[in-house]
Amino acid sequence: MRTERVDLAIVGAGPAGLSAALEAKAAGAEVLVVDENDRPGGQIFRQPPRAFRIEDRAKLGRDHKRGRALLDAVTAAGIGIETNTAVWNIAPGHLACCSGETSWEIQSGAIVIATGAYDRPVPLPGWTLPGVFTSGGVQTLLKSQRVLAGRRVLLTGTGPLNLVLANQLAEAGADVVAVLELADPGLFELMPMLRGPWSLLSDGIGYVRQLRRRKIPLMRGWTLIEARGTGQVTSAVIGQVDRDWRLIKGTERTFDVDTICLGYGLVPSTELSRLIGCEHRYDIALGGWVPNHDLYRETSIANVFVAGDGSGVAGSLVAMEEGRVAGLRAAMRLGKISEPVFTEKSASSLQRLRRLGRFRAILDGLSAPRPGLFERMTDDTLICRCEEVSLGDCRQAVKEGAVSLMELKPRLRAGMGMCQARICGPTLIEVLGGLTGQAPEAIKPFSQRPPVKPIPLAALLDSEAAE
Amino acid sequence: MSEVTGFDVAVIGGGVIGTSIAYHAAKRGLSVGLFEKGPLASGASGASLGLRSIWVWSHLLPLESGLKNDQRFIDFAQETGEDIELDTSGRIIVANSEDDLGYMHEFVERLQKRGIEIRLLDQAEIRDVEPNLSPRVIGAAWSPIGGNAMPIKLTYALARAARRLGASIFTHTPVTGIDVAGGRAVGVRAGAKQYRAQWVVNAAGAWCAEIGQFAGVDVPVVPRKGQVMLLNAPPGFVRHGIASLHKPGPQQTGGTNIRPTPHGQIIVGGTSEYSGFDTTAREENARDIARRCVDLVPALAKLSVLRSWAGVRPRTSDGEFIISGAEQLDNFLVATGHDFVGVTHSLVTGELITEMMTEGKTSVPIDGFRLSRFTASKSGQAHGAA
Repeated sequence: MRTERVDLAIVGAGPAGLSAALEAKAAGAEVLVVDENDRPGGQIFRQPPRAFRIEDRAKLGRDHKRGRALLDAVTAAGIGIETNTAVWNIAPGHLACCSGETSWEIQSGAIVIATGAYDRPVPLPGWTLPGVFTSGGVQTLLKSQRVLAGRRVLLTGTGPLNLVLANQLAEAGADVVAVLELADPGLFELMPMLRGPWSLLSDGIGYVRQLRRRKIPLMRGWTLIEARGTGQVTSAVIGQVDRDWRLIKGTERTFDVDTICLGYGLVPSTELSRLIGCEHRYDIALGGWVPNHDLYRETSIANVFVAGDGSGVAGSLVAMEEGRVAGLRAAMRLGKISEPVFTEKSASSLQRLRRLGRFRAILDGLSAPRPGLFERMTDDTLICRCEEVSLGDCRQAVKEGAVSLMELKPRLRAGMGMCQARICGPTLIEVLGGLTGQAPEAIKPFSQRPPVKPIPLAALLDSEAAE
Repeated sequence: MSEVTGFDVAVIGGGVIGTSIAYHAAKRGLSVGLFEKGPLASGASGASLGLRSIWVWSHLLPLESGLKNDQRFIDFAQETGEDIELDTSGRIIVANSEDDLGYMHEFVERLQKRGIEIRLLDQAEIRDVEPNLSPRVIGAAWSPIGGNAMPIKLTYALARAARRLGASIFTHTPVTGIDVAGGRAVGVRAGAKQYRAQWVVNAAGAWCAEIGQFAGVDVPVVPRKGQVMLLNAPPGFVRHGIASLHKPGPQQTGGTNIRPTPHGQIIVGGTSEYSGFDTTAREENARDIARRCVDLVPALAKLSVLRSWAGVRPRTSDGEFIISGAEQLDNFLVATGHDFVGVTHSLVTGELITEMMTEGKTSVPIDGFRLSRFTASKSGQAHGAA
């Protein structure tokens, strides 16, 4: 089996991972980055496949432009990136990687986990109909393949991604029916934003202005109630919600659509930080279970660092600063730089993080899931899509005495399918909490077991030993 | 102390063995309280492959009783209407070395002589019965006896059935003490409450030694870790439970097992190691399982591995069960040591323990499972890592 030995191994080539790599490398550490995707950049800086010829870069958008600078710097620094590589097991100083049908190992003095986040799955009636997507999925199709998921599109959920995506879809030629935003901030809530970082604020205002220019209605305080259709979504029932995001009866309206984007924020990918045994805490504003870390991104395990959305959803600007701090701190722990040098080099990032933190707290307050979000489900709405487990099934299991995920799983097979509980896990925590009267933080998430991503069995066969 | 309640039987342990005892005892009209420190099936029963062995692995269980194992599962499923993913399609055992083939001939002949339905397959039959078997598999035998059951569903089904018969099942309720008075176990303490009991049954699997200490009874059982892997598979990829047959050594293992599930998945395993109560799924074990199961079914290499997990089985020093009363405390019963054949012997164990309580003796002789065998010989000292 191939073994690579480096000072610092970084999981994830998104904004956090690449920023960490740049700083650590500059500080004199040997760095290796691994990423599942075909090209580095993560979701925010997702690039079209290598085989594509790009005629007009401007069409790829603003994120792409920002990402280009980071990617160019990484290339210039000569940082090694192993793409198409999944990390399937982790222990201090050890990563088990799988590329194609080959498993190999990285041994390192330190590890930065920068695994990002994925779309929060929010079950509601009709969400398994073809034509209903997550916003992140639709954006991936658009960014990487230049494919439009549909023609007549409704976006629903909360947070800035839907605003960005609506403009991107319109730009690419889709008919965007409306953007439904759960949060309905009063003026009072908006005031503190004026002290936020200008770039983020101008971004936000820019997205809203663009929507207005394109005559795409931004409906604040509205959300999707049900997706309808036979064999394919053909209409969307929407309604107005109160401050707790609960439906106000009698406000329902129907739109004809062929595509619905569900964008309810993100869930941190904590599979690796949990498998290695880092302490975690539940913070719904950050997306759910997140690893504990200090100001310098150090976890409860020595020489294991976390950065970016995987350690709490906060977006790419925050992720880059967190990555820088993690990379510098790792370099310091590896003995590449002294503590005073760390303090000096990390000062500006830490300061920016403090400023971004304030802005983020406001956004979190607006977009963090509220109780009504998990009340759209009816008893026959599927929560676990792999194994087809409904809310009604969960209700029955709780009636029979289930109080933990460990007891739902064997009864219902929830979480036993191909997605390894990524889709149903976050919802089940809320649902079980609601049905049993437990706080979500009292519910132990599904335990993580290797491989945390499906890998071909062939990868476990040691080809050298077999010869 | 809060109000004292009582049961005829206090069962400690909510795995396949404990819930089976609860079910069988309740069926015979005993009042039952079962205490489990975690959720049901959180030990070996939750990690098991769910194989039901063809033959009587235990040399000491009388054959006429062992042969009824299949019927016990069929009856349980029919009587209770519970879905335990019962598969009665029989088992295939395979040999892929000359040594093991020689042993297989001997083994099949021995079983046939005792009246067990099993026969050797020729090469054409092997490909016909299980097309994906490796050409390197040089011998195989098939028996209509045995098959699979989903061990977690079995545990829950037994608990539900017991509850319907009046049993109380306390999960997340660790036993913290056993009350002993006048040479008898008189009750258990669990979840800050006290429960009187006429019988106390220690069915805590690999944790039986710890529970035994509460009553001052030595139960020489150690945790033996086993790891398995779950593969995503198209239906029919593997049709039967397949097990490799090996010439038994001093540390008998479960060999290599491949079990299709009704959910388009295949479970493969297992391993055997002594590492305390650690249940970390290890890469080396995953590689070892992968190598061994691809030796039997090369096409498995094309499938995806979804998960790997481990559990600890209860292992005695001589590999035989303990189904017995304690010498110094004869209403304290112990049922453990089932190692890798717990699912197969779950129902019979429940029957035997219940017979001890209701008849004062078992319907078949099982002296070989007595706890006293460890104090009578030196072997009691020898348990532990090999």
